[in-house]
Amino acid sequence: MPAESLTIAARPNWRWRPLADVLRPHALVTGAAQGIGRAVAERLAVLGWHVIAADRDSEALGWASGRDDVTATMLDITDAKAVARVLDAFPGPDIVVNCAGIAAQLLPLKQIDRRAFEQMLRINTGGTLVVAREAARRMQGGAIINIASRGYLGGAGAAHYVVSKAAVVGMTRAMAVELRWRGISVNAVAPGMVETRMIADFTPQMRERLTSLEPSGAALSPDVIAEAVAYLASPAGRSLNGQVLLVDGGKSLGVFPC
Amino acid sequence: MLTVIAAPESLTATIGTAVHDLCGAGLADPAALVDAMPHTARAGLAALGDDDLEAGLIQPLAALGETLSGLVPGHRRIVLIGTTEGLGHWDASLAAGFAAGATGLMRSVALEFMREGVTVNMVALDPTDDRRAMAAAHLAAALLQTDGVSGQVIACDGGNNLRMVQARQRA
Repeated sequence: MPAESLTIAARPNWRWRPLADVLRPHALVTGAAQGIGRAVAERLAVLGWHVIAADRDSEALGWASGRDDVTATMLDITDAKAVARVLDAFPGPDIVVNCAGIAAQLLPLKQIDRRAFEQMLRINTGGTLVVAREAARRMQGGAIINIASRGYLGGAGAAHYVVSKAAVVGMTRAMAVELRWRGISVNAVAPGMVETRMIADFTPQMRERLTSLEPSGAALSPDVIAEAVAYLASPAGRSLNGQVLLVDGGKSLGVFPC
Repeated sequence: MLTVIAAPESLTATIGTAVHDLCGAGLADPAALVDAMPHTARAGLAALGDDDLEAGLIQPLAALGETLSGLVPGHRRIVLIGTTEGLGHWDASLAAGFAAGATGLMRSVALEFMREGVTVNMVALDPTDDRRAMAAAHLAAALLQTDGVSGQVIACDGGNNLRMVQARQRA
């Protein structure tokens, strides 16, 4: 067989790994150092995936060290070449979960300048598109799951965050239309308030006010979001396409005490 | 007073002229009509470059945010002229992202400024059908003259957003 016909030739960063490991389906999870991303990575690993846990903060990926079902890798999702390098080092991927993103400080619109809009869009929206694009170029079926936010429906006090997540939802629908013929489903999960470092940074007063608006009176566990992602990654879940799974305890219905 | 924020010769500018004619001096509050249509060529996801992403999504959405921030609360009636592409379409990841982002932005501004009596809505056209400028102008004029509707996307596409006839033959 001529060398150029080997698939491995297209994977310049391929690393030799045990056959059993290579044969497992691979899932790329971005933003996997903590919060929802980490919960998703751990859940998929438990379900038998080999998880490529990627994050900009490589030190915070320490939880994955020593595990043979998770490979931790540093990744800036806005760097297309870096994303390509990571993807080329592994088989697949079969599943991509776009968790990486930044949260917004709650700010009135008048205090959000052009740069803040750009930064939020470049990371939350642009980063999601870059990872999806690079993955789609390599995937032969599977699923892309984008983590949006209940905020995509609109919310006062964080317009730059809302616009970035609403754009993710729109892109999800377009990708779903475009990629389905290649056996790739694309869906979004829109979590409500989740117990992550993002909200841990709020003042106690702000935290109390926000949790009091939740239907259950508490923030959701990241594990709940991970379960929703695991469903969308499952064979049954892949029959969904272009959907936004609101995982917010019903807050989006808008009729709870506020 | 009606402020139209759109490039000359654009569809939104045309609609703005029509809205001006329809409303005349009838606008009780300072009002604005804002172009929120994606200006990006159709391209498959895999073919999109990083420059396309910046020029077709990030910069236009950031600019729209900046524009709306500059309009409120002085302009109490705002209508965006957008598209239905946020529903998702072939080879339109950027356009869909822009359209959905604009919708989220419109709702956020509507929510944030509702206590100050500001209303913000969107008239969403089918980008492949330019026959509905006058219908869009009538809708926009109505939205600019009422305080009873805010945060809404009104599709002005003859029902195409119901999408039962848009399946594409498998290549």
